[in-house]
Amino acid sequence: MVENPSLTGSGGLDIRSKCALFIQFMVWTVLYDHPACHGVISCMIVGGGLYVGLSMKQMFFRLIPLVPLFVMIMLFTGFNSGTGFVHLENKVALFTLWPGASLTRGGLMLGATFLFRLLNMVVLTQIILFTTPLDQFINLFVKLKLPPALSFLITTAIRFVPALDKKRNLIIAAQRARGIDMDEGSLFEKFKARVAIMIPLMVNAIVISDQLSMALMNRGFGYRKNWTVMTRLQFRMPDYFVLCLSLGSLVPAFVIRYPGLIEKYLDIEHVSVLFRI
Amino acid sequence: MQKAIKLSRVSFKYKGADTLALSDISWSLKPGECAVIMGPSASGKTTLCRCLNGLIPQALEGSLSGDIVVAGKDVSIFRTQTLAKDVGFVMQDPEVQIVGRTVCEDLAFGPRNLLVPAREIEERIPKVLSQVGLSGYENRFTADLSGGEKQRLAIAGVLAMEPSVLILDEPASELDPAGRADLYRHLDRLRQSKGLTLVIVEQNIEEIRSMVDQVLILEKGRMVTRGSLEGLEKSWPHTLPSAPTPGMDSLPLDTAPSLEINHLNFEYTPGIPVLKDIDFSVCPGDFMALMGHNGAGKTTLVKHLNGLIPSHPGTILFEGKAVNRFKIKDLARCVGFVFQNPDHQIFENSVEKEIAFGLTHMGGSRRAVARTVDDILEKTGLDPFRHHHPFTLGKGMRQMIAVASIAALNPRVLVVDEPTTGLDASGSHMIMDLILALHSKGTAVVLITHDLAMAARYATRLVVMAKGKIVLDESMEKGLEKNDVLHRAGLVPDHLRSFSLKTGGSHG
Repeated sequence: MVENPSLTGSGGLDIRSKCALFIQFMVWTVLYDHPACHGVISCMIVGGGLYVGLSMKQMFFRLIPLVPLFVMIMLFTGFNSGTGFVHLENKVALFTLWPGASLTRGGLMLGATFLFRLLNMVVLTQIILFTTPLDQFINLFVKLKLPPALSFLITTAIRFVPALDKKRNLIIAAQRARGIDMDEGSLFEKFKARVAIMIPLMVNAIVISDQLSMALMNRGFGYRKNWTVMTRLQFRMPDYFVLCLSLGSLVPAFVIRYPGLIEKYLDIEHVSVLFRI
Repeated sequence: MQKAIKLSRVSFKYKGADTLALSDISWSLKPGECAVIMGPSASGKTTLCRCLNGLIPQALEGSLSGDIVVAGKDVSIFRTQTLAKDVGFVMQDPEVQIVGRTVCEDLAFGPRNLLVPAREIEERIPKVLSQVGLSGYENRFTADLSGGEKQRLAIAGVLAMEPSVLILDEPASELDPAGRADLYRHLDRLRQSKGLTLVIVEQNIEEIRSMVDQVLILEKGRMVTRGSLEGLEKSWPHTLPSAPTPGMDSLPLDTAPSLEINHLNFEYTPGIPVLKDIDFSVCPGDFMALMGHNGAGKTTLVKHLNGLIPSHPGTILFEGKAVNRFKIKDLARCVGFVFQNPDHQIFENSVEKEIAFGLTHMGGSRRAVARTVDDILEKTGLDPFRHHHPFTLGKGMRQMIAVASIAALNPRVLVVDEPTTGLDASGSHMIMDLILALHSKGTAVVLITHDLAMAARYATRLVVMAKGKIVLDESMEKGLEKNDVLHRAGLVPDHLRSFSLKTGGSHG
């Protein structure tokens, strides 16, 4: 993971503001079922990613191996979502495999919603990791009064995912040089090819973790229960703006999802229905 | 004067091991002195280092006896983290020691643990960076650093904690000769200016000759000899640099090249070329040493040779056919590739199966595979270990298994990337003998190495790269005369510039 220096310095948002944004997007994602809503949320998130300097490849490459899973989710949801949809046209069976297993428009839409939710969470996490230095995570954990050892455990895990990924690429190259091709041959051969990657990867992961623990001790990790705080978390004007916007946006989001909350004052049931399947 | 390091009758056995890793070691070192620990693989060098900073007995289980006092502290009483204030330890692999995403973040990590005030940490960072020759790297991302830069950063990370004793386990194993010399020059300056006590595990003593006060030679956990370098050169000549054996005769070169590279250009990041208009060929019978400083583009170039990095059609031809038209399986049989780290390759649960894997995968009959495996095991001396799990063997053995498993395929071209890094002299000879045996059967060999003496001993052709270009392509004999080119490519450090490799500058 490459970090964007322009956003990690004093000009970037405070990590707490980023968390607030993350929560806001997640609440939006959970509140609504209609894939169009999620499409809009995804566009906002991807746009944000592009704005901070992430490329489309950086945002989506981690999702590529999950494509078969996504197809299965779509099919499973498409055939198994019953007919409990608000809009009549979504209840109509498009295709019946056998009695009780009908593909509905609503089912497909719900499947798409699940995929958008996954995509939003992954891309948003990528953006936060990309724009936040390790130190800010640690400072946040300190602020939350988490033990330093736990804080470091989490942040080291963040640091070592790319290291392990690099190792994986080296192992794939070494095995390809022996003629192992993961994309060719029968299912069994493909499985065997993956074993040839997994075993050295696991061995290397164990070796790395063992050496890492020694390296941390060499660097004095655990000398005392706390450590020197280099920079303190500090809210600036953009942070207050983002916090207000995040909190403010949640009010209409809840009202639209649960119109009964304000039915005494305003009838927006017809608007609320548009956001459902 | 109080000793910086004092060991009295130290013995150690790892938990579950049958033999002692260290046996009855007594040794002391004064503040500001430099000691070099040498010895073959598995002789106890790393174990001794781990004893000096308390990792043994605190992090690694086993039975320890004797007394170890470092920087006035008994390592069995003080925690490793407490000792870290006075005793710095730089391990062999820099990758696992870097914990920050930026250089600055990483350097601050140690002092922060020791509760050094933030302002003082900020002052220390540029200072230690200049001490290791990385000035101006503060905001660089650690993931973007080269292997050599990472090694320097790992050292800087420990120096930032301002220890009085610094232990370094093969700190320059991945650096080119100029980089090694540079690193040791910086360390020597620190020793002289700050009175830093140095303990260095190093197989190649040439670059540190001038700074060494004591040499310790370990063998099977025992200290077989100790003393000044001059004294030891007389009494223990077989570990110290020896004259090179004459290079093997060149095989008659075929007119048709096995591999032909035409106008190869490559860049990982647009606008930053790594390879610039490379033209060369590898003929049957060639034994080519491909050399150059860290980051010259050697590994990137050879990765093109067997399709690990795709090239434009027609740029690289194997026996007249574009390599990107081969199936991975078929190309692997023609152009074998052995990587630096054997652990990236090994995955079977016995030596025998590991060597057989490639042959079976290529569709060889069971009988033919068994015959070839038997033959290779016998030639490599691996036969007694055929049923052993490869990961239970030492690094030298694992490297041998990696080379043997590729040699079993009998490739027409064999590319080996730094096959002897981290190995002792006998391990290196075993590997090189196996490669020579393959070469004598007609396999062209492309050997990537930083060790010019080893290249001179085995190779018949010298290709030198610098900044993505080939700057020298000559027979070994003529190439060694181009001292200026070799120096510019970082292959001959300043102090050896007038040193003739042909007259005895070999590294054992």
